Amino acid sequence: MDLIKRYIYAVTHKLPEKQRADIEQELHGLIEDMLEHRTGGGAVTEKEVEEVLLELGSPQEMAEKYLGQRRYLIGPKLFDLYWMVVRIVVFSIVLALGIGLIIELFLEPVQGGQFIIESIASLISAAVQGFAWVTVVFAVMEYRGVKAPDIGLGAKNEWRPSQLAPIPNPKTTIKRSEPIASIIVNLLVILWLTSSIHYFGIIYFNEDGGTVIIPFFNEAVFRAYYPLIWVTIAISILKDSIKLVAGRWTTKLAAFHLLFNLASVVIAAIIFMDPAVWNAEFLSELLASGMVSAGSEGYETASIIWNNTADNFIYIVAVIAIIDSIAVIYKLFQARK
Amino acid sequence: MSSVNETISGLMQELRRGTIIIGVLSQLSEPQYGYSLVAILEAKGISIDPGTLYPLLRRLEKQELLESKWDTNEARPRKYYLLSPFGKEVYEQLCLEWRSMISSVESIIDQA
Repeated sequence: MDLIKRYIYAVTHKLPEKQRADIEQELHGLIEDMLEHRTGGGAVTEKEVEEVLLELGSPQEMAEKYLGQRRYLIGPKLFDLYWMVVRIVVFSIVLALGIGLIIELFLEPVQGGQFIIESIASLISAAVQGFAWVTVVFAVMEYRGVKAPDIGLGAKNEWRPSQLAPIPNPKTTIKRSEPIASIIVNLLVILWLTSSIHYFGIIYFNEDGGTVIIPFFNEAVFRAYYPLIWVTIAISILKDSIKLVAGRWTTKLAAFHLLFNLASVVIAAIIFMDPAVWNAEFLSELLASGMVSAGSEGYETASIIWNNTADNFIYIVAVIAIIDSIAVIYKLFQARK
Repeated sequence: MSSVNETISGLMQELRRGTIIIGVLSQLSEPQYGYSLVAILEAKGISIDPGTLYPLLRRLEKQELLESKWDTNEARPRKYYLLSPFGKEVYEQLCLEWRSMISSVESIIDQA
């Protein structure tokens, strides 16, 4: 009778707890009925038990029939979305840490093999973590029965032919690579700003072979602007995600994009027009480095460039935003023709 | 020729799948437990694995076509299933649909 118990356990332990006891009892009754039918009420042998269990089929199949569906960690309905997110996340992590590693090596070349091995190990572990977290989030979504339409992807209402998306006009199509690249750049910026803003600067090696950095920014002041930058980048990633899903420029999307460009110029203005974010000691540190000497032509040039950059940085940002906005508007107008 | 037989047995399985539900519903105006239902259907020429029938009964109960009750008075506790009022209505409707389907299919076969 051990076999029967093992069979019932094999079926029921995969089923939801609530149904388990009931199904257990039911199966027990069924198997006993089947045995009785076979033996006509006589003694039951091991052989007959085996025959009955074979007739019932494998416990795996039986459990699936009770569940009414196959079980997935991440089912076919969510898989496409999952796969895309996994690729973006893992690729961003590897790229960000990889570039970070190269910069670090460039700055501290003396650290040697041990450092490289450790960095590669931590890179792999970070990539695995990224993969694991995305998987966990999607597995929870699968478990809770979230379907793609519930999170705004795929068709929610009844389908109507009039809703068919137009055949994509090659002029308005958004290549997948574009938003993905943008998301990656955003993630890189966040990582670098948060972890190593002090690396933004002029880097040189002093006589002792050590690395000295003359930062462009005043780190303490800059840090106060982090929340603003994070929100901006979060919105930017949201915008890229929408572009990725939509796959083509629509009027609404373009409006969102232009609005975002405007907002990011305003935010850049708030940050970079604040004289305190720039490193006030930059020129004197440059002098102290010995790269240029006071009163020399080189110093004059450097100070002109420095002062102009600090003052005009915002215009550079604005020009880039304007060019990008014009390109988007141009695409929309092309599509209207 | 074995592939013809194989194909037919696959197709028959699909055809049978839908009819089994009608068979099950038809026998449950009186309460029955799973294995007695297997025997009754078998005697009427509809064979069904207990391994298929038991989960099916549970599914039909979840769809509120059947009601169930454990009978623990006998030596062996058994779960009895009975057609619910809703199930009865569905069954009657289903029979009408079945008849009209049969007549359509038959007329198609006859014309061919």
